[in-house]
Amino acid sequence: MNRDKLKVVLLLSLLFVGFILNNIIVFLFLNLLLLVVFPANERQNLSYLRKPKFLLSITLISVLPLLLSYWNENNFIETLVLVSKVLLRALFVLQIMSILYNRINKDRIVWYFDKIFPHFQENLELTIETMTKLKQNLIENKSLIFTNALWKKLVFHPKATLKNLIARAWTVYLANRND
Amino acid sequence: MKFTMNRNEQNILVFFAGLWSAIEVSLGTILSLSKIPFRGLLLASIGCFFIVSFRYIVDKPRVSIYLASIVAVVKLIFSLGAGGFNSAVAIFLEGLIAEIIFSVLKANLISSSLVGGGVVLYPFFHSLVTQTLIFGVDIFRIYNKILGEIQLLFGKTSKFTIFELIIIFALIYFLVGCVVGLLSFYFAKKVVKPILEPKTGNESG
Repeated sequence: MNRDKLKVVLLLSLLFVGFILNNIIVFLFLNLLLLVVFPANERQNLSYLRKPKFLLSITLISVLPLLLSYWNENNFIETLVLVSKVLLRALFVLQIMSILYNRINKDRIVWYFDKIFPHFQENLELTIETMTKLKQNLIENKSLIFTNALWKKLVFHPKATLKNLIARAWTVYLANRND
Repeated sequence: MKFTMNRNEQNILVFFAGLWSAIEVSLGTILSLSKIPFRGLLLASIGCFFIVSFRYIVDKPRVSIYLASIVAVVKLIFSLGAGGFNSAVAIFLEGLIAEIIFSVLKANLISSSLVGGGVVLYPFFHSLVTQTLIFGVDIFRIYNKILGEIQLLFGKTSKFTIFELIIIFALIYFLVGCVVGLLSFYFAKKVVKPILEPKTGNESG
């Protein structure tokens, strides 16, 4: 194995170890914050912060630069300070954003839009009804729609296929509106 | 001041909003959860098609932002967590971008192309802004460092910075968006309008 390949293999191994260590630290830190800082009624919307996908993205921006700077012997301490600063800020901001999101009043947003646009609430209700019926129709006809032939047609004959799909959706919509 | 819409225009608005919402709530949620790269580009392209088609058929001021507002609220209602809020804001702002361009240039081939460019480029900027808000400006120093260190690891001497990459990606998004806008205009004219026209009975440009 040449030196470059060895470097890559070692780097990937370190990345894997770093990923595990990093996640344990972030997980513990998050739980500590949840336990100490936020009251019980504010915690219901924070669970996604502990999901693997979020932790993976946090790993990529924290472990990777640390490993690379250590490997290249290039300002490791400076990178460590930078990464710690970014991580602390992210954890704090995300928790605050989650709490703020939890407090959003959807009815108030609808009420506000209703003042700007004509019949907003009525059209919103009709849209939800239409969406549900279109989805229902899609589920009932999934054997017809999700076929390879349809995707091939969509790629090679987009105009005709799109015409069929929209005409079909329009027919379904009008049939339901006439009910 | 509120604008007015006749019954047929309202019908088309609900049809477009229903179809777009169905895609956003089903496909959009699957794509968001899967974290597939360029999912924003795909969803914005679909959104662009609906915005351009609707504006081509119902060419009235504020209809683009109206359509996007309905879909954004539906997305907000049917999505869970802060991710749904993020998507709802993105849909609303895409509608706002389209509305500004259509208000200045009216619904035509050039404006549709620019709307495509703006709407498809938006998710890219949304992602940059969200990351800056969450991680701070230092996140770009980290990306820059990762890129520089990887180049150093493989003995590359040319320093390709993250800012250059951002500009290149933004250009790619914009150009893809312009093509999507052109195609949306073409399909709106050749496919969507003929289907919906007998029921609309209004002229559009």
